[in-house]
Amino acid sequence: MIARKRLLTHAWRQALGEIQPEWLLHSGFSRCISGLSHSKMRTPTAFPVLSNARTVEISLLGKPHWRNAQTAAAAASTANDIIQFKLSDIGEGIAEVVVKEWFVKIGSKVNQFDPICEVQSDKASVTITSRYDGVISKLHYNVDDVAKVGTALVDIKLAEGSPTSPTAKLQQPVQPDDMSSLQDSRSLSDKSKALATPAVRRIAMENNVTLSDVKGTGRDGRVLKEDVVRYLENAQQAKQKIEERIDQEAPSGIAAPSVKAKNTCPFPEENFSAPGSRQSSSGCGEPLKGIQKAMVKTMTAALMIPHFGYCDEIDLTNLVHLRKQLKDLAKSRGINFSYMPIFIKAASLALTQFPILNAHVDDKVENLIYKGSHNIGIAVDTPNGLLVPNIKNIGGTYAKPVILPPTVAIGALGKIQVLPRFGDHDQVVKCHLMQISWSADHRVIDGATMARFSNLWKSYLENPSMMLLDMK
Amino acid sequence: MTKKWQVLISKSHDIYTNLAWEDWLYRKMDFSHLNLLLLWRNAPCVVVGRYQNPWKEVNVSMLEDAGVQLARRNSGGGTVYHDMGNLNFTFMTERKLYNRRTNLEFIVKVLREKYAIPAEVSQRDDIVVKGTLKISGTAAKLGRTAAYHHCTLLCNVRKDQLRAVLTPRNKGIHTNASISVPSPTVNLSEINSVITSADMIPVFAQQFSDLNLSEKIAVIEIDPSDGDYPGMEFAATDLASTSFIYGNTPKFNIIRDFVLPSSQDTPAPTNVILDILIEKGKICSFTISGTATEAVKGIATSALSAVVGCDFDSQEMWAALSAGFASSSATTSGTDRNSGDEHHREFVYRCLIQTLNLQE
Repeated sequence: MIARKRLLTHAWRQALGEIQPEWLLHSGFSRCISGLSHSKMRTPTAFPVLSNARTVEISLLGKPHWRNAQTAAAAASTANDIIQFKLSDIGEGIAEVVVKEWFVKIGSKVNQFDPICEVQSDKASVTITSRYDGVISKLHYNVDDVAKVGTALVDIKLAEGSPTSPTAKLQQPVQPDDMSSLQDSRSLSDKSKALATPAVRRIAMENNVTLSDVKGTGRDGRVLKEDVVRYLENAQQAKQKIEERIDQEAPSGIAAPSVKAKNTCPFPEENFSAPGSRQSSSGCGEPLKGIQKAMVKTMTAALMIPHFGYCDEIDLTNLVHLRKQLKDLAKSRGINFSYMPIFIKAASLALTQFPILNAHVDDKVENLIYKGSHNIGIAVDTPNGLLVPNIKNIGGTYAKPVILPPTVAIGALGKIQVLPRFGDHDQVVKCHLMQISWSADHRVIDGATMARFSNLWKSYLENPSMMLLDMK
Repeated sequence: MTKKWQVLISKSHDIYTNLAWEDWLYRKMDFSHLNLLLLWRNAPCVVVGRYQNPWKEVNVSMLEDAGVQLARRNSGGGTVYHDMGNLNFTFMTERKLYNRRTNLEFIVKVLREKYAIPAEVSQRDDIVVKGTLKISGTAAKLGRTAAYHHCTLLCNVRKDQLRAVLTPRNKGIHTNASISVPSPTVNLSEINSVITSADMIPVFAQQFSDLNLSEKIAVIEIDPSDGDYPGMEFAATDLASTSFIYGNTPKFNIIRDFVLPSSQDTPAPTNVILDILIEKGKICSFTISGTATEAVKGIATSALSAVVGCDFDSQEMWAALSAGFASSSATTSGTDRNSGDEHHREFVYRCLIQTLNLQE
């Protein structure tokens, strides 16, 4: 128990930015929504919930490093490398600009693409974003100073392992120019002007919500969880139109008959008052609005970066039994048996068969860059379960796990629930079930691939001994 | 994937809604396969650039009575007046394709060919006729992956109102904020009387469509408030707030030097220098100097102390100033009062009012 606590504290400290992790850090619980048609709709009934459940997310990263391995192309920095980030050419023959506003200060943690400052030249206001991950160690100009193009703007103490060579440019994925949401999602500093607790920030970050877009109803305009939820409900309706559009345009994606998906969408236990209402074509979530505007709006909306979701339910009963058997053995060796390494190993095994999930796109969405090694990030939520019960209480709202660049796919694991199911002889058996929801970049990953990967991963977890067969 | 082009015409005439909508598109759309032209008009308003000082640029005190709103946009550039006779263009693309001149040349081409207006693009990226008369002002915002250039077009605005609001009362303001370069303006309708902003919208939309021959460009009328832009309504409310409009004013000083008439205590004229610092739109601190007597400086000090912390030019500030005057008049009553002190007190308050009112 203590060992687990230490693990969680370590992860929590990483989340706070104290330790620079190789693992992508974001924790929390997300439910899936799906733009897919399902082969089977589960009849909703009420289920009990395990009280001490825990949430885990796994994301598949495209970053080139994994522990001690380094790719030959990118030279990675060592600790304490300080790089001068120069003001690059803005274009239009401009030689100098006026610094109007700093978005960072000395000590601020920045990630690549985070906004650093705003400069102005004649009639243009330009947002300068960071090329590197690291910590700001010096600002070379004050507000209202004239900065010459080509001179140093800030000094950045590079994060360990941050690629500094020009080849790093290849790994920049296409992103929406939503500077502030990148800011909120990539850094836990107080750059956001909105007041919100860390828990609320996390929910916002999970769901790619810009906190300053949300109207806060709490004290001092504080943004509360309910506010983010309400925002998501509105965004949900807009986004469902995107998915409906994508479905209409690419019907071969997910609904391919070769994909044997016994997939079902998780329904929150509280919402089973109207079982019939869930049978909309979009799977789960709110019924769609009227069609008359859909044409116009989806044309615009479809040009946003497309995500799609895929969700499923995994029977971990065998794994739970395995854990019971091994727990005592593990304890005698002084290690704590956790599901995490098994989830990771299963994902890694599955990835070898679906390398596309370990890749990402370049700027023009023309080239896929495959990574040699598997980099799997894990985030762990605290056992306090702050996020889980509250999101659960939303009532009908699903949130998609965020795809953070440079990932192409991300999975969110729900809590493990003990639920009744029918066994082989139609008897009622006690099953340990976990929801999994995947979110993927539709430009790179097609639904069938996502589904097949998920099924393979699921089969490893449902039959742990299978992993032994496929291990190399 | 070929580029998609769209012309979006806003049905809203609210400056804050339109600015929030424009900003939403800029932040959230993927422009790697999209070019947008937005066409929009607003009810009477004045729009200052992101880091400008409204008091420096605009006659702020007349706005409310005239029914003209004040807004701060996110792009650079100078201060402009909008009303329904003004047509706004926003050209939004990926960063690499940002090119102001090309956009302005497009507008000039339409004006020349369709309306026989002898317009041309000036050195400063304005559109002018007869070399110096401005009919359009330009501003831009550039980010990492997207950029937009927007500009006005004076079709048939109320020039009297334009002149009035853009004649600021700003005596004493010392600031590093970017200032507007004033130019004489003219309405297109003065050159070609058939022109109205409303009629020009479909013409420009059509001409823009004709630019891309391979694919039909979609021309769509949008109601930005219809719920398809989550977060936009809230952003519009923020844009309309005093904290955004005034709170984003770069810090500035108001510095005035007043000569006091000679009196019994001071046969030679003396002066008092007031230096008030305003940051984020609030009165932050002040210093009083000059050759005036301590008594005089004391009056100024206690009067200004009452307004420190107030939003500059707010009801609160004026109320605090009046209250200060009333209470100081009470304290000088009785045997201590003499006409000299009373005289000084009134003089100091008149100076303060002049200072805070930014008047000559």
